[in-house]
Amino acid sequence: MGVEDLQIIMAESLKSALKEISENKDATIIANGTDMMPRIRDEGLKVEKILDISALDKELSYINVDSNLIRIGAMTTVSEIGSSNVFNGSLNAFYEVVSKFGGPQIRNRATIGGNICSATSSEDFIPLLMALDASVVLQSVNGKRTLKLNNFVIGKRSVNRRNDEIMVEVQFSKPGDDYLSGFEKIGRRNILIINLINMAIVMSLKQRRVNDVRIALNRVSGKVPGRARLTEGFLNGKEIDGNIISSAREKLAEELKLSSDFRASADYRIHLAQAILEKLLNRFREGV
Amino acid sequence: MSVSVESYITDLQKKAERGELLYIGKSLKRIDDLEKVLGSPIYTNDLIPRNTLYAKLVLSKYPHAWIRSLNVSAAASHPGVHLILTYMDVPGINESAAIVPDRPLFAHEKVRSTGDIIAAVVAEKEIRAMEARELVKVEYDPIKPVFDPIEAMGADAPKIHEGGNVAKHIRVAKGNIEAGFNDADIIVENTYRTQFQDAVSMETETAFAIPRDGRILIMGSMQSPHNTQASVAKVLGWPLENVEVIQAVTGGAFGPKSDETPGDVASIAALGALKTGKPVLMSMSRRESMIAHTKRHPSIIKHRTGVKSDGTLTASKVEIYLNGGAYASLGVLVIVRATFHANGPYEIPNVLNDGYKVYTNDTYAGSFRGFGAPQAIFAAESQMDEIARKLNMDPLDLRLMNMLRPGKRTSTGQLMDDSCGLPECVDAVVKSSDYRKKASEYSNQGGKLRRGIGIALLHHGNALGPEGNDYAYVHLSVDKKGRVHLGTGLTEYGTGAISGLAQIASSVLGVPVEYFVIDRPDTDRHKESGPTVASRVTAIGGNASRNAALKLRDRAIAVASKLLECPLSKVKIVDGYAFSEDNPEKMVSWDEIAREAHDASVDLNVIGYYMAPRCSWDDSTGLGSPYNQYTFGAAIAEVEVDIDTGLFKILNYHVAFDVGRAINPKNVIGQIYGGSVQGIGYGIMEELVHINGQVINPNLKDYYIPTSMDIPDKMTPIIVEKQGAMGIYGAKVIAEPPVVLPAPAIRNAILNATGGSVNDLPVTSEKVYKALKH
Repeated sequence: MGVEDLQIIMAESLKSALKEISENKDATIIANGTDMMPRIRDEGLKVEKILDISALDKELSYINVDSNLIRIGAMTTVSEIGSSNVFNGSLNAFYEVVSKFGGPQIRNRATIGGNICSATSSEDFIPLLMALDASVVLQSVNGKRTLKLNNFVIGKRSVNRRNDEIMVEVQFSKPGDDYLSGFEKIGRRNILIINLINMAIVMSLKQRRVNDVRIALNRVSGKVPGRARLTEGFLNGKEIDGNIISSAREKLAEELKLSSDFRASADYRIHLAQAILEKLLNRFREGV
Repeated sequence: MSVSVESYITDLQKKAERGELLYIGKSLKRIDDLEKVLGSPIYTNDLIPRNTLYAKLVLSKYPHAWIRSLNVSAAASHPGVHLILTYMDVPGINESAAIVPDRPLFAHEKVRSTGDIIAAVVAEKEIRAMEARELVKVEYDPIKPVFDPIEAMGADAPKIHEGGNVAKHIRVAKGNIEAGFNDADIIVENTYRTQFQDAVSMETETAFAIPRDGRILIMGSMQSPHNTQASVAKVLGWPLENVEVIQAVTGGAFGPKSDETPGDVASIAALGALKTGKPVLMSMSRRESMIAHTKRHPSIIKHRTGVKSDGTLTASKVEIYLNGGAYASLGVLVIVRATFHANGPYEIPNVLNDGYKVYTNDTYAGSFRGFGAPQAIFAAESQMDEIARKLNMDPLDLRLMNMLRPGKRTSTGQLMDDSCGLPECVDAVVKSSDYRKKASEYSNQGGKLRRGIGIALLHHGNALGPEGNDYAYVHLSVDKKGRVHLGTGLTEYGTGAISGLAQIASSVLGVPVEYFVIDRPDTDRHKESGPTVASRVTAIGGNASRNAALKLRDRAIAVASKLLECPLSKVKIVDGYAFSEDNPEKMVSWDEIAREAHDASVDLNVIGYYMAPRCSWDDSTGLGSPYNQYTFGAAIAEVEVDIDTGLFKILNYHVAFDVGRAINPKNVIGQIYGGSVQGIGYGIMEELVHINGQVINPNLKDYYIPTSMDIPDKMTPIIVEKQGAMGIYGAKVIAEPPVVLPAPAIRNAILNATGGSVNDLPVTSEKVYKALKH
C-alpha cells in the first residue's frame, strides 16, 4: 500500500493551499481521493508528495447563481449537487449525472473539481459541462485565470493546469427556460461502471425546432471527450421528427472516431452513442 | 443400551422424514450470524503483531519463456528488505501442486504463465517489498506460447510440459453413437464457448506464519487446512506434524481456496518465517490474487445431437476442451465432472463425450464453485433450445419429453431412483413463472423492447464421487459448563454449513444449538476430514456429526439415568432437559448432566466418523454410477431486450432445487440467492480477460461482478425435497448448483425474445446486438 512513505501536506485554507502549491510544484493535489486512492493501491500509481485540499470544502463547496452565471466550487460533492435545487428545469441533466454516478459512498466524497481534473473518459460531469460550454477557474498565488473546459481537458488524464495552480471553480451561463438538457450513460452493469459511452445534450426547442444544440460525449476521438459539432450543425434549425433523428444518427457515426478495447468494440460504442442520441432527442420531442 | 445405534439411526431417519426432529428443517440462526454482521471476526490480517515481515510476489513477465538468469542482489540490499526467496531457498521439494506434480512453488528454468511466481520479497513494510520486487532482475528467453486449447493439442504445438499438452482426457460412452445418429431425423451441431471467471472472494489468499519451538504455526484463509499442511511440509521437507495450520476466519472461498494457492501463500510465509525467525504475512493483493490463483476454466464445447422429429433425443456427442492454463491443478477432476454432466439432465440412449483438460500459456484454472458444471450445463442447455428451435417445438416440451425421472438413466448409465426430483422442480418453476402464458404472449411481439422467457435444468452429482474418498470426522467435546465444542477438519468460509453440523448434533442430543461452540479448524487438534469442497459439508459432515452426537448421547443418557434414578431406556433429552418417560415432571438440565459427568469421571469427548459408500466408475467402458445421489434444479428467467442496442434487463428469475432435505431452509435459500447472483455475473458480465497470456483486468474496477442494481427485482427460490440415499436425513448438496443455471436460462430467454443465439459467455449486450444481425 504505497501510502506509508508519502509526504502529505495538509492545507487548512485556500490561502495556505495556494502558498503550499507554489512552493511544492511537484505535489499531486488530492481532494477526497475517490479516484486517486484506488490508483495508488491497485495500480501502483507512484506519488511521493501530496497536497491534501480536503479541508477546503469550507471555502470551495458552494453552488452560487450570480444573475445568469452558475458557479460551482471545486470541492462541491456529487451528493451536494444532487440535493441542490439550482438545477431544476433546464439543467435537469445534473440530476441524471448524479443518479448514475458511482455508488452512494462515492457520491458523498467525489467532488466536481476532482471529476474534472481526473480527466478520464469515465468522468461523467465533463460531457455535461462541455455541453454547457463551461469554464474552469484556476487560481495561484499570482491570481486567477479562467479557461474554457475544452481547452482545459486536453486528453486522457491530461489537463492544462500549471503546476502552481489549483482549480477552484467551474462556471457556466444558465441556459434560458426554453432549454432542455439530458444525460445518458451505458456500461456493462448498472452502477459503479466505467462507461462504454456517455452523452449530454443541451438545447432549446421552440415549436419543435432545434436551436443552439450542444452535444458532448465522453469520447469523440479516441478516449478524448468533446462536442459532436457535425451533428450539432446538422440538427440546428431542424424540426425533430423520425427522419431527422435517423439522419442525425448517421452524422454522429461520421464524426466519432472511437477505438476498441476489451470492454467494447468501436462499432458498438458508436451504435450506443446513436441510440442515446435518438433516445434523448425523442425525450425532448415528447417533452418528458 | 436397549436400543442399538443402527435402529436409532433408522428411528432418526423416520422422524426426520416426518419432520419431528426438533432442530432439523428449521431456519435456525447461524452461530456466527451476529459477529459477521458486526464485522467482529478476527481475519488473518487482524492477527498481525508489530515485528511482522511482509512478503510480496515477483510474477513472470512472460507467458512462456526460459529463465536465462535471475539476479536478486539489488533487491536484497534495498532498505528494509530481509530476504528474497527463490527456488534456491526451498529445503524440501519445490512443488506446490495438488494432484499432478507439474507446478513448482518458485519458477525454475522455465515460466509457463504470467501467474508463475519467480520470487517473493520479504521486507519490514509492504511498500519496501513492493519497491524491492521491481529490482529483482530476471532475463527471459521467450518461447512461442499457445493460448487456444484445441491448438495446444496439435502435434506441432509448443510443448508446455514434458508429456504433451493434454493434462487429462476422460470419455463417457453409452450405447452406439453412430446408430443413434442414424436413428435421428435431424442433427444439430453447435459450438459453445465460456470465459475465465474469477471467484472474487472478499478476502484474498492470505497466510501468516509464526516460527515456534522447531515447528511452524500457520494461520490463514483457506478451505482445507490439512491440504495446506501437506503443501507446506513438502516444501519445507518436514514431517507433517511439525506444521500446524489453523484456518482463520475466511472471507469467502468458492473453490480457489481449496486449490493450490493457499499452499503457495502458506509455504512462502513459512519459508520466510523460518529463515528470518520472525512472523511473516503473505497476503495477496487483489491483483496478485486475480493473476496467480486458479479461476474457472474457459471452455470450448462442441455439441452434435441427433433427434427425432417428435423431439426424442437419440444421440449426443460432446467434446469439451477446458483451457487449463499452465498447470493441472484440481482441473484434472473438473474435467471429469464436466464430462459426466455434458449432456444435461436427459436420458439419451447413445452418448459419446470426450473431455480434455488442456495446458496452455494462460494463467491456470482450477476448482471453482460448480466444478465444470457451469460450462457443461451452459452448453447442454443452450443446445436444447437450439434443437427446440430447429424442431419448432417449445423448449419446455422438448425437456419434459427427454428429462431424467425415476427409472431413467443418465449418460453414464446410472439409474435414477425415487429421489429424482427434477419433474417437481420443473413443475414448480413453470407454475411460479407462469411460463405457458408468457411463452405464448412473447411468441409474437413487435416494437423495440421485446420480452423473452428461458428455461434451464440441471442434475448435479453430489459430493466427491470419483474425485476422492468421501469421509469426515466431527469432534464433540462437552465442558463442565455444558458447552458443546464442535471441531472438525471441515471449514466454514461463508456458507453456514458448520452451523448446520451443530444443528444436526443438537437435534440428536436434544440440546439447543446455543450450547454449541465452533472450534477453529486446527491440524493439531482435528482429524483430517477430506477437503471442504464439492458442497459436501452438510451431506457428508452431517453424517459424521450425527454419529458423534449418537456416541455422546449414549454417555449423557447414562449420566442422566443416574441422576434421574430411572432406566437408560426411559431417558429422554428434549430442549436441554433430561427426564424419564415415566415421570416427565422430574427434570435435570444439560448443565447438570455436564457437571455430573465431569465430577463422576464420565468422558464426554467423542469423535464421529462417516465414509460415504464407494461409487462406481469404469474408465475402460466409460460407464458407471459415479455419484451416490444427485441434486436437481430448474430455472426460468424472464428478460426484456432493447433490440436496437442489445441492452437487456433480467425481469425475474425463478429457481427450484431438489435439496433432498433442507436441514436449515434459510441457509438453503441463502445459498440459492448467492449462487444465483454469482451465476448471473458469470452469465452476463464477468470475464477475466487474457490477451497474449497477460491478464488485462485484474482489479475490481475493470472486472465486473453484479451489484444489487444488476440482479432481477424479483428472484423466487423454491425448495423441493426428494430425499437422497447418502446425505444426512436425505439432504443433498446445494452450495454449488445455483451458480450453474442463470447463464443458460438468461441466454435462452434472450433467444426467445430476439431470435438471436449467443453461444459464448458472458452474454453481453454487444453480443446480443451482434446476434441480431444488424
